[in-house]
Amino acid sequence: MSGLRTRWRPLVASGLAIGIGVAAILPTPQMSELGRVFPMTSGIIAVAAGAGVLLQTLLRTPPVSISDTPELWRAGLLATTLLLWALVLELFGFVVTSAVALPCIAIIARREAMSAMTIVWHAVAGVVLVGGFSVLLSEVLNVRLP
Amino acid sequence: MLGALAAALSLENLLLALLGVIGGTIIGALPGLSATMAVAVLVPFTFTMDPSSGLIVLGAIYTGAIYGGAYSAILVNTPGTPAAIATSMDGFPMARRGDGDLAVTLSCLGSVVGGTVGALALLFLAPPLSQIALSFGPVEYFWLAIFGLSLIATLSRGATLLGLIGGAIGLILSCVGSAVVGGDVRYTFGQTSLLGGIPVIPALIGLYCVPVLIDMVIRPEAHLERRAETVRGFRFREAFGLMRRSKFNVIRSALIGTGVGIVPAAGGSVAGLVAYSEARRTARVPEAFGDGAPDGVIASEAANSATVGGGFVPTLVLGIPGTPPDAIILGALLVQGIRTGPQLFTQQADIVFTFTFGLLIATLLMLPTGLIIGRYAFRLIVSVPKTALAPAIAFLTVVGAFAIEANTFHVAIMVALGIFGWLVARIGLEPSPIVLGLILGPIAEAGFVQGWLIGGASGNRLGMFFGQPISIGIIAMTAITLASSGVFKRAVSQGNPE
Amino acid sequence: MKPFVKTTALATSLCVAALAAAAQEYPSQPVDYIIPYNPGGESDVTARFQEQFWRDVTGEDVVISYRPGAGGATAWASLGGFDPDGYTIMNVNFPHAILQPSIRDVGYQTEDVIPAYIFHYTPDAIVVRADSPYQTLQDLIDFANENPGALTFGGSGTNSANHLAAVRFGQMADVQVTYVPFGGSAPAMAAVLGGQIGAGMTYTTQGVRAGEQVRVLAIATEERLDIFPDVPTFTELGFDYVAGAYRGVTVPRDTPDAVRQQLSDIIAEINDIPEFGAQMEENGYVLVDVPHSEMADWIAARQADYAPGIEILRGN
Repeated sequence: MSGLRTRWRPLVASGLAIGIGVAAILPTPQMSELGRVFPMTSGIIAVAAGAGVLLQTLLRTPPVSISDTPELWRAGLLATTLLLWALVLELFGFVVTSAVALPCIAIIARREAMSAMTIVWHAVAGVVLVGGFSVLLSEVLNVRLP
Repeated sequence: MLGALAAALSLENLLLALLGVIGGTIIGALPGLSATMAVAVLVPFTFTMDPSSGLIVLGAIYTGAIYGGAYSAILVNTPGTPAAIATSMDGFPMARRGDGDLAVTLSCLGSVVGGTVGALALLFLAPPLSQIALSFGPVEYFWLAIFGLSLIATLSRGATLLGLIGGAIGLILSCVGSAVVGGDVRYTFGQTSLLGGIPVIPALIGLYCVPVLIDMVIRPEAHLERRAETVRGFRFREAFGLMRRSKFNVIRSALIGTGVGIVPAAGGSVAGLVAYSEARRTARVPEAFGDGAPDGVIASEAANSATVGGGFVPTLVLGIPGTPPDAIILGALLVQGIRTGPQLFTQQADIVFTFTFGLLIATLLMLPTGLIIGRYAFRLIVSVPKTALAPAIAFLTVVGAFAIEANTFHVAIMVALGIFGWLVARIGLEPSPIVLGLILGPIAEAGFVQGWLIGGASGNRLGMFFGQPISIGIIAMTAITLASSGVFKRAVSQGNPE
Repeated sequence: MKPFVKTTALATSLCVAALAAAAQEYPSQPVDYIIPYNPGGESDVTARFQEQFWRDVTGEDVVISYRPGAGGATAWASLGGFDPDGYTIMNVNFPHAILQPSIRDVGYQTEDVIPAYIFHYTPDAIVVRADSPYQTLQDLIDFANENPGALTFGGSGTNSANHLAAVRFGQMADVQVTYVPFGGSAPAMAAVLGGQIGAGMTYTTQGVRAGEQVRVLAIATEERLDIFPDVPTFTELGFDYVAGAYRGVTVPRDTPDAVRQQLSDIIAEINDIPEFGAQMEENGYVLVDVPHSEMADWIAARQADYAPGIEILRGN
């Protein structure tokens, strides 16, 4: 036994698959006869594949190997920023949210110190990007921006 | 026909075609801004134009936009349209290792060949070819979708079970909302905003692009490898050599694209995937596919560009549009007083031929346009530092997901699926099987339910699904693909690390 | 009068005047016109026909966009979220907007999407392939009588106009048919042309599009249409049946009556343009005029008309 530490990925994958599969199968009795065929089939495939992965993991060495990912805090921050952006887009509008989100993401992605000049360039690029798209969408493509 | 050629070649029309291709390519390159949107916006302008000029612009934009999808697929792993899914599979790995410029040039060459084949088929063979569209009934669509899903086995390269999990998740996601066929309301959790289902384009952007974005931020190394000596040229000679060596692949993919394009509702995504799968199956080193095989990019792009010409066959001959842009162009044709149908090619032939020549010219103009725009797009992505690239890509994902229907809910779906995609990538689930399930699920389900109802009415369900020549052919192709992908072999040796 | 009162009165009257002017000037900016379906269908094409004349009539542009999903329900459920100022208008279809909310919770009620104007309908039509053995509607009914359930009708969507038509036809002719739903009129017609489906329960417009490849057996209009001089109406064949998909233009529920009235006038004016009428009729549409003032009665009449069919659809 090499312990759970090296096997957590396939174990989580199989748990996820079985969970999603079961969740998909549970509401099927309320569906019409033909309408439940696909949800049922997909759910069963998910559960079966999940069980297969589980068996494989318990019986052999895990098939998947992914190098560990450094600096997870950046991922968390980025994901949070994107989520918030999506949620407040309607409320605060396109330009305002972009003006806040873009610098935030730049900071999250930043590794080396930036000179004042670089920051100015980034700001200019950001303004051009947001401005350009506002014009493209609202004037050329007739999309009403929030 | 020659008169139509002369009309298409007027200076005004050439200029319009060039502008259309440039505009279309740029719009297509931005994920979420689609051919549908560009074409829809332009329709009112064509009312006041001369009919043939109007149609030429629409065709040029459409051609350009389908091609433009290749850039985002190659450079940021984000197929802006479902048609470019297969392009990203090898295009992005090529870009990662520093061959982004080569991939962009190859995609351009492939598209030009594919687009030309498709347009020629429309020009010379449209009425007979339209019969292909009619021979595809619900059951054939069902099997075609299953064939597409079988590609999951190929894509998961050894981890078949994990691929299957992804595919099942995609299928379940595709069931969300109110089913067109049957009317069941499934998995909406009482949310009326989910009634329409998971929107495909925002899902594509989320599942493909957000994980790339997150990885870009958490890893210190550059987004794409940069080779100092290659950033300058087009690598045109090298690309051309590769194309010549893969001439069978190019032609086969273009023909597949034309054929699948003719079948309404299948469209660019299926064409690209089928051509990709065939290219892989017949390749000398199938294992290279997925790690940046140039043939994968060529196959996908030749096929999806060929669907443009192919798609107009049923649109014009039968009045049955295959894709949304086809449908909008059909609407514009009706407004111009054109009657679709087989007689269109005899009674109003001039306008059809002018339009087809316009498509052909637009395809040829794509060569210089695509190479030049592609080169700048590549240089831009390679040379911009991450602190600028990451916000810019994040911005594009938000804009793209929003713009497709001016809907902020789509942005939320995009981000949620994106984060989900990144999380499951860490346990070994790739985005492609999920996306295949999501896109092909509805085609398979509609075909299945319709086939079941029709088979029930005729009292022969078994014969309905397994007894017809085209279905049998597709089932055989599925079996061959599965066998050659090594599912069965690998199932035995799966435990071995790569 | 004290100066203060005077100014207030003046200000009030100015305000009222300004409001009135604003109401008069509708539209004073481009109007968003949302189609709840994919492009290329009847809703899109008729909106495009209107678009050509919109500018001549109003002096402003109309901008068409698409918000497909759930047979139109996605768009209609979202209508309430737009400003009720008349600058977002939406295409709305009947019977869809009556059927859907009475069968399932689809996020809107019929009252939320009451149109300002109903401008045309696409009559139901039964269409078969040109080489089909069914020469007349009676042939079709005879076949269905001898083989219960074996006749397949292809149409667009579930709980849609086509679905209801298939159900009502079964009732009227007292036959058992199998309705096969497709993702739109176009794929349903493809299956008819391809011979996978026995007959299309579709619209006159599809008969026009397919031209000589199909034979139209009967149409659900009051009188024969000029484009199909040889095709009998259901009434002629002994069925009391005039139906189809009625299309109108709607605005969010809270839109002031004045704006609804103005929109109604605009659409009426476009309907009166001979060129527009000719274009519509050539393509199989039948113009109708149900203005804002008659809408409540019209909707009530429709609801009564559809009620028996809805009962059957609910049972499915």
